[in-house]
Amino acid sequence: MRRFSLWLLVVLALIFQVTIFRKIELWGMRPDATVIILVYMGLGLGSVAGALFGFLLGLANLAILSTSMASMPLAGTVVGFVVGRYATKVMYESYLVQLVIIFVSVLVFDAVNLAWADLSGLPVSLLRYSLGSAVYTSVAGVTLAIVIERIIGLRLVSQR
Amino acid sequence: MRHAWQLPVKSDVGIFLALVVLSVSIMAVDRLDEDSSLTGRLAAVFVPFESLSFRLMELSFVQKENHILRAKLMDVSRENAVLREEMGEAERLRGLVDFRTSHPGTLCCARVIGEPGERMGGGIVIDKGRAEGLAKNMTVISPDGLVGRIIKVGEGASQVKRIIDPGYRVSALIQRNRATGILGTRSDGRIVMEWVAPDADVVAGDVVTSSGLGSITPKGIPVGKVGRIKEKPERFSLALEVRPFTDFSRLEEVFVILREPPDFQLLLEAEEEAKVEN
Repeated sequence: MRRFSLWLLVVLALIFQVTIFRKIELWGMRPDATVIILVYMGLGLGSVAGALFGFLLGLANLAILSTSMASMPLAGTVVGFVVGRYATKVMYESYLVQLVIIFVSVLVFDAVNLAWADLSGLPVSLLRYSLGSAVYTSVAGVTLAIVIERIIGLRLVSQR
Repeated sequence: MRHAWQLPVKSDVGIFLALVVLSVSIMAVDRLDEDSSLTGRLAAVFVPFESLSFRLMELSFVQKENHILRAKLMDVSRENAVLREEMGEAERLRGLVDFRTSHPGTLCCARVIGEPGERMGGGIVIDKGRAEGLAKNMTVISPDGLVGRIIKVGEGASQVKRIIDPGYRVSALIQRNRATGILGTRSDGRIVMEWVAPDADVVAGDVVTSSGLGSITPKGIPVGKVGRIKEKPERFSLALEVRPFTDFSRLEEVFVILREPPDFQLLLEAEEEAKVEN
């Protein structure tokens, strides 16, 4: 049942990415569905699934979006693996913790990509572009999780 | 209990490292390949997914655009209907102006404002009356031909009996051969010209005009065309069915000929005076 809810999250996140997230753009920033999916896949299925999903989603991003960088698969792999391996050790059932995990994941994801693009400008770029995006993505991600768990009634992540 | 995806720690690090190596290879190839052919090749693999996501994105826009276009289409249709109406009116009015120009000072233009029905005497009501110089028995015409005559005059409106109203009678002639007759309207609305000489050379399509006899309707106003021709041996005449030129179903504006029909009583008195003087 949890695997179903995770797939539902993937589908919903992708649908939201091309519909609602495009419309609720704030100051040029949009929530990043890729990171939301990676975080919940990592939390729900563990480090291997997280890493594999991260790699594949990065590859898909690279292929679909011409603006994407070649570092996308690496960024996805790192985020998926780290979340699956280490974030599962904290009380991630709490929405607040999930919010922090997504926030940090966006920063890591962006850091890998920005470093690949221009290592010297990494701190400035992180502050300038990633910080707002991280806040926005984490709020959107947790909202999506609440929708699935509280409204639809499916368990998304469980520590038991 | 371990999940199917959750492998032993050593294995997951190994898989992670393998994926990292793969990712770094992709990055290296991408950096070396200036033409980004790697991205191009990957893109080819993901084309179906790309087009699916693109379609999903487009769907909401298309839907919104569809709503806007539907609304615009409705506006344009409405506007088109109004313009058609105005164009028709402009065409009609142009015809009326041309007609009015060719009859300076003798015509009064009026708008049809009602059809009172049989109980109220039938015919039509026009928006001009005594105030504009209209009087009983004045002839009413349209650019196409004879409409009828005024039977009642009010201060600002008048009632007109049409040639299609039962009981209407006017003397008429065939334009081609000047054969005269009396045009009368039957109870079913058919206009029939009677008392035409049986040997008159009349064919279907001949134009019928007013003859001017009787002095109420001026001479030469086109009335209609001859339709069916019947012989009436008992009356020693022909009965010609006449189709009026004026389309009464679409009559909106008419002209009243501003010429008082002669008062026969006054004419008789004048004749008497002349005789006495002589």
